[in-house]
Amino acid sequence: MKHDPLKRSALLAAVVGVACLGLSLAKALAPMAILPTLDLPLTLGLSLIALTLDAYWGRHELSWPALLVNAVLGGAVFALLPWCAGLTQGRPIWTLGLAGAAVFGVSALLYTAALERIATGPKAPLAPTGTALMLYLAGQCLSGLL
Amino acid sequence: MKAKDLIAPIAALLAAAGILLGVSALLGETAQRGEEAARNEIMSYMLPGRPASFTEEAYDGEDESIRRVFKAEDGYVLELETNGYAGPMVLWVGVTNEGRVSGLTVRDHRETFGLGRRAQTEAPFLLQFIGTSGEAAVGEDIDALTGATVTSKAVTRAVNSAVAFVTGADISSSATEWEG
Repeated sequence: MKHDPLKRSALLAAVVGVACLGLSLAKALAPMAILPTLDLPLTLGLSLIALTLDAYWGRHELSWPALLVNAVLGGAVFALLPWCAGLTQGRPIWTLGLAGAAVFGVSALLYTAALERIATGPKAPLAPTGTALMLYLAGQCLSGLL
Repeated sequence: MKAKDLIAPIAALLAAAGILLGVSALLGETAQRGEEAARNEIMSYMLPGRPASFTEEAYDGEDESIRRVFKAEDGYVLELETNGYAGPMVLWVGVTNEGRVSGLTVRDHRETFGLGRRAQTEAPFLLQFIGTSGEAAVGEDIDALTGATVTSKAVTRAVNSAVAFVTGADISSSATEWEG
């Protein structure tokens, strides 16, 4: 399969778009519901879902220029889409973008590096999911410390 | 990596943004109506007699913690923002016309998980404020949440501010002046 280094950003846009759509619908149709805010665990969770889909979709390799461009695109996704959905809760979108770029960039770096070591070829079908779960737990711990 | 690789992610981003803008425009009015109905429903539990409707009143006083004021027949529900341990906290406080606290809920906060966050859910802590009339003080009338004294004081400041608004008490007893 052809390697597309920025496919993970397209997948992130799709994942965050679907999440924002769900939250918008819940906000409109179930106003009493307590909805999750776009905090560190949620940003990390959405990033890891996109990275996991990307890992199952095709081969992946660590490339610094692609990582940087993906981080910038990730920042744009986390700034623009919640703003379009009216989910920024008064926070300036540049802070969402900055946090999104940092979280997506760092999680992509760690995910790719960890997956390369955990995956042992086609007979390791759970490696992408396992890597995501491990990083999510680590992210939650970090979030608790912060 | 080539420039044309950028086309797919940017197209996906713009498509998602367009769909979300469309959905927001379509559901905006429904969301606003729903939010108002939900707010009235919650606030109705915060005053005696469960008032059916509230009128929002403009507030231009000195107390910077008071964000919005909703009046009902038997009292007021105020939305206040006060500084907690880890960031701003938003509270709704119901106060009767006689100046007694009749309801309290923490609507938003950034408090520490397992410590200050309990201010939102720990009923025995919140119930201590019911019936107070602006004199509440942590360590005297109010037992602070264990490990969350700053959060407890922030809640107390907000509650005293709300009562001061209704009774017209001196501003020095309110959140902007009392550092707790």
